[in-house]
Amino acid sequence: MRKSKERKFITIFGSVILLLVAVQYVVLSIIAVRNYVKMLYQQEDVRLLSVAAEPDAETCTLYRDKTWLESRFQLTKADSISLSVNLKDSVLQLELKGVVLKSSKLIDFQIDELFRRLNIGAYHHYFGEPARGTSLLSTIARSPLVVKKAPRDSVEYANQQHIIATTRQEIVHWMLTLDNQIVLKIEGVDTDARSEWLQSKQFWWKQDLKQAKTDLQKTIRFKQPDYRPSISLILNEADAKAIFRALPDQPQVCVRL
Amino acid sequence: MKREIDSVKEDGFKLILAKPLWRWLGFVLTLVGVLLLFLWLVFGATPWLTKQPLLYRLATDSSAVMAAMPGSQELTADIGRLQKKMDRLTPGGMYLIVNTTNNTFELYRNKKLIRQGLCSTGSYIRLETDQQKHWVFETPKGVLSVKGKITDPVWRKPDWAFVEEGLPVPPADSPSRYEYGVLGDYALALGNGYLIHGTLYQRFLGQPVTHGCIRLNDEDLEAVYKTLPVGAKVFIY
Repeated sequence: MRKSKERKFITIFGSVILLLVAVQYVVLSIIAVRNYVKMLYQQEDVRLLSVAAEPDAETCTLYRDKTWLESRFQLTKADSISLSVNLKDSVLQLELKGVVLKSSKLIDFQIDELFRRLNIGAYHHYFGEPARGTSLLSTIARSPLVVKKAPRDSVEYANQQHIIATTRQEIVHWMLTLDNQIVLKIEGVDTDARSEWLQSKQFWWKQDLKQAKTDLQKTIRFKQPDYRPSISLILNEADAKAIFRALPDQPQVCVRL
Repeated sequence: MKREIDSVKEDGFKLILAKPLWRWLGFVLTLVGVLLLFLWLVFGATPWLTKQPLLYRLATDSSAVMAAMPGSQELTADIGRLQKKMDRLTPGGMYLIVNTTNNTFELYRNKKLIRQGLCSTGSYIRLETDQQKHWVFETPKGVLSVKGKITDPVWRKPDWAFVEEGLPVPPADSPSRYEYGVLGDYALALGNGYLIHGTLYQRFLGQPVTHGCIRLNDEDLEAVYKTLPVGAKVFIY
């Protein structure tokens, strides 16, 4: 009887604690977003450039076009390959010294609500100049090195396998965190490989879980979780792979919304 | 009679609930329910709530700086100027772009694509010997240029060509280092021993099988050779 009461107490107490943490997480996440937006609009550069124009106004569109060209022009000064994300035309480009090496049409894209509501000042704050990638996570290796031991003699060489793996299928997803806190999520889609849906989702679930773990740890300490606005891009798998492998370790990126 | 039946039913129900199995089931179901609710709040409700437009609405009073914003005409002029600057950066003459992941190439003349096709690039094999020596068969990335053009090229086999076949490495001037007719009719030197050349193994075009050079089929090689002058840029990514 006493054991049963203990069990009941643990169940109720544990459940209440768990739900309280979850509710606290929800509330703190909302506060984090709100504070992030407030802080963004309090920044000096954002305040100086902010005008009371609607984001779809002609001046705003022209300003975005100008900013886009300016930041792409800045990229031409770099010696390494850079990435241009043009969401206006749904195109992802690899550029080097102003030359477009690869252009890939986006199948779909999603942007955070924050980006839909940026005024000119905030837009310039994020996209006024190229951002630099700080961390790059992916499902595939950057350099797919295969280590091969040199044969000791020609007999061993003759016995070695010289077959090339041509049909190797890889799931291509990668995530690039930029120094302006934006997260670029790139998903390669292959229409023939529907059976790999679960495998392909695993990468994103793993990232979500990792983020939730960090955020929950902060929540328990009554701290606000991190808010990182993201841009998700879906493109052809072969293009996603080629672009990923072409990029340097810390690529420069410019974005046009 | 009815009261009696009801009483028996009630007692039976209490008895069932009193059984340890039902108590355990209730305990487990409660925990599962709470856990599901927790997961929904963290992974479902929170992302949905933080996407609400209301959170991103903020009144920005900045009428004072409005006058400083350039007008439409000024912006259009700036855009035109910047676009011209960008266009000038693309080489006007001939250049080649090589994609080492998909093993394809594109040949441009006056900013227009004139030819594209399959090629073969570095295999990404790291060849290791017992003597702690190693070679990585990778095509270099970046902007290279055509350093020289050769007809009927002869392959001077480097050390790794012998090592990877388990053969003893001959002296530098040994005649066994020279192979004729394996590089096709033409070759374009890109520096550091890297070449654009032909191949005997045309079935491998489109695959990463080379030791770092770029292989093309005979027709493409001829077109590239005849189009690209010495000094033309080769963009490899």
